[in-house]
Amino acid sequence: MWQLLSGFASVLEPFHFLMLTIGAALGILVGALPGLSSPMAIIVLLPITYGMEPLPALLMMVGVYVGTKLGGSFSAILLRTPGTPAAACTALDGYPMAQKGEAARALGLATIGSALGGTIGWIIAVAFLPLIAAVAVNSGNADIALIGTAGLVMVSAFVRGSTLKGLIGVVIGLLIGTVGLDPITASERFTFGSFYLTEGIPFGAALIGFFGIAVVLADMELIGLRQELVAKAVNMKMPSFREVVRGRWAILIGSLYGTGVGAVPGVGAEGATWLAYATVRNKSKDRAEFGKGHPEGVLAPESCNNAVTGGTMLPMLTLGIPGDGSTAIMLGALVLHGVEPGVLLMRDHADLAWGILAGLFVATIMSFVIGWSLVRAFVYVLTKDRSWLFPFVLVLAVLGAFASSNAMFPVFVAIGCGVLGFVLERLGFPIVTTVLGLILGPIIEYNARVALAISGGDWGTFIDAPHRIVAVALIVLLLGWEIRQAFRASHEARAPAAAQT
Amino acid sequence: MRHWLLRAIGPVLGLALAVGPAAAADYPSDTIHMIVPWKAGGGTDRLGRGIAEAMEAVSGATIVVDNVDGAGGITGSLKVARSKPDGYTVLMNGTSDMTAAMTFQKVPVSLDDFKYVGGFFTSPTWILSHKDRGIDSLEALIAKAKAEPGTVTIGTAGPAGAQMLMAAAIKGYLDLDVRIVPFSGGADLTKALLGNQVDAGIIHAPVMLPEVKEGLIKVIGTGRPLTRLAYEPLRGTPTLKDNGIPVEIGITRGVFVPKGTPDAVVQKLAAILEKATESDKFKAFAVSFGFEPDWIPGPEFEAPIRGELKTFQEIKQKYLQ
Repeated sequence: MWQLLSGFASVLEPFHFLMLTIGAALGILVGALPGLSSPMAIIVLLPITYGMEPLPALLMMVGVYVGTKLGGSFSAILLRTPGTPAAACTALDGYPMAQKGEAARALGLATIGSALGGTIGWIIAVAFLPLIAAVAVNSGNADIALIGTAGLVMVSAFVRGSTLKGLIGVVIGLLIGTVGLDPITASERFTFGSFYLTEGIPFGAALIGFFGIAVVLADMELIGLRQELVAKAVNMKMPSFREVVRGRWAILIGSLYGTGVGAVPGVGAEGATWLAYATVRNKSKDRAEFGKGHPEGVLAPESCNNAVTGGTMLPMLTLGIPGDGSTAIMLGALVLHGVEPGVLLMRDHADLAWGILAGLFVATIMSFVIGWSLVRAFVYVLTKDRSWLFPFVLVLAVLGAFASSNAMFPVFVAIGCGVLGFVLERLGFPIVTTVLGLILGPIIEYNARVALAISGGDWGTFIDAPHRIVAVALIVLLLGWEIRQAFRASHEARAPAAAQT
Repeated sequence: MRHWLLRAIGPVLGLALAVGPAAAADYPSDTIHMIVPWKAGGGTDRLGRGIAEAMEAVSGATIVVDNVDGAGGITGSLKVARSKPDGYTVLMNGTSDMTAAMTFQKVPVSLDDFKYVGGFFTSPTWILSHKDRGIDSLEALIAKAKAEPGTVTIGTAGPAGAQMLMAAAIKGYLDLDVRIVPFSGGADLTKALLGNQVDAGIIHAPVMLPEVKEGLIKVIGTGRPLTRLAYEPLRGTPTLKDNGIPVEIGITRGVFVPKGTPDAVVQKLAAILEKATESDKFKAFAVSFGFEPDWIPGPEFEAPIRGELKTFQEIKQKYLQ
């Protein structure tokens, strides 16, 4: 306990605090720019930190890491282009809110959700340190495959309208995810002899295309049809305390998912937010409002993606296992500063490790403070006149796709996915399901096949532990429940027609 | 007026001509881009950043590390092979990572597309096992595989790299019935080893050295002698050859340039790299990483690589089809 307190004392030293705050501010900015992500920002900052002691260097990176989780939601809400992949889910309800003129409310909810989620995730991580570390180590590939499958099954949470089209959308996403090298045998799939496709469809670029470019195309069509983009009266009302209290379950559920899934290396914030959103929606009494601007639709994913930071930093510090790209770079940064990551870090460099943990909490607070004060500025600037935004968004999208791997190929992928996304939406296929298939497909496939490779082809590996049996039961129940819902819905649709004859 | 113009032509022409040949004479006069064909944060990336920092310190040049990952390191290698051969775009990669990638894939780049500046960090590839598995040595692993066919699992840090080839060699040369489990990379295999989910795992040394020192993970074998490991007790670990597998597997990280780069520039770059490798700063970094750095001049760096490619191709053909 006192180690944590001395960690806080280190963080609050002027220079350290400054580095942390600069990191958080940079993180929010980088997160808000579509296409620029946390790993990119951290890697660019790395050489700057060479001359520093390890703690301020890592504090700046932690600041960026936390900041991007919030910043990503800003452009997701205002431009429907997620600033980071983890914010894609926030766009589902955040953007409709902005369209109704409630942008400030949406941004405020995102900021509060991020802060509370990050805090709850942090408390859980620190209080249950050994448990979280054990979860990280003992999670097997079979567990990750089951988590992914559960997420995919919850797909009907996102389907508005035809369940069939939603499922086809998922299948399209799964198919796109298979392009590249087989994860186990490394044989080529759907690469058509193109060398670039052997790496598969770059996920970040596809996301930029589906959510960013497709939106621009759709809005441009409206301009072309001379339909006015109705500029609703924008009000600057921020969410009230009561509203936050009403959403407390969404925040809690999001945080639990975030910490739990974050601790399991391999799924990441991108997958976890969808699980949280789907669960909150399924439990809600106003299910139909989700996707049209329900506050809990913003609170759940935002608290989830910030809680993930608590979940991923723990295995990083206690085991040297990175939970995602940003923590992998932080581990590299530790090495470059002469600190060996691994199971001994907490023991041999206790001050540093606890300082970083304390820094995670302070960064969450600071990103809240900075974010909250920026909400009005963002809303003012970005909801004035949308037509000049499109070139801006397109440029950022292209830059972001290029920067993801310093090559032109992802740019073409982004444009291609943008066109595909536009066409699919036109035809009534919800893009969300395709993105879900694209995210979760490769995760499920890789982990399921490794699990089977370890067990020698024995499918019993998916039920050979109590928590796995629970997971499989849940999946089966969810499937059954959704099939029943679908039958009911089509029955009700047919009943009035029958009554009329 | 005209005199002034006529007199100006001389120096202007002279300057223009001077830009050409002077390029080699005052290399490096511009930022050098070091392409690391792997994701940021991984082992090769860390070493690349370490050596880049050291090179900056000894030469005063600015070196920027760019991560261009994909296709097991080939995307980045291809980018360098096709870039301007002026010494300002260089590749930093590992020998067996390149040859393994070329073995598993049809790639539009070959070993002949590069000039070999030099190597700076050599490490073998080793086999690890969790202490609770009860497998103390490669010999014990082989015995278990023979006694219980079809049950022993060997994980590899990647489905199409040198580690996979090492697993195939162990399986093939000794005709063992083992299950090779290809993880997506080092991070995933490390996690599986820590969680004691496989019998053994193959990864480039010195990854997991801290856990080994702590006694949590055992080194049961190595692809090449560990004589220069920064941890004495393990220096005598038996090799593949000691166990009847006539193959040596390790990795040397080095710097490559496009093949059209002028020799004068290559030599200057090699000189900088050599000084950086032998600098105290890099020595300290490398030792904390796990091995003393090892400067290998260009020709010696290049010599074994083609033989290695052939060996890998043979292993793949015989044991992985």
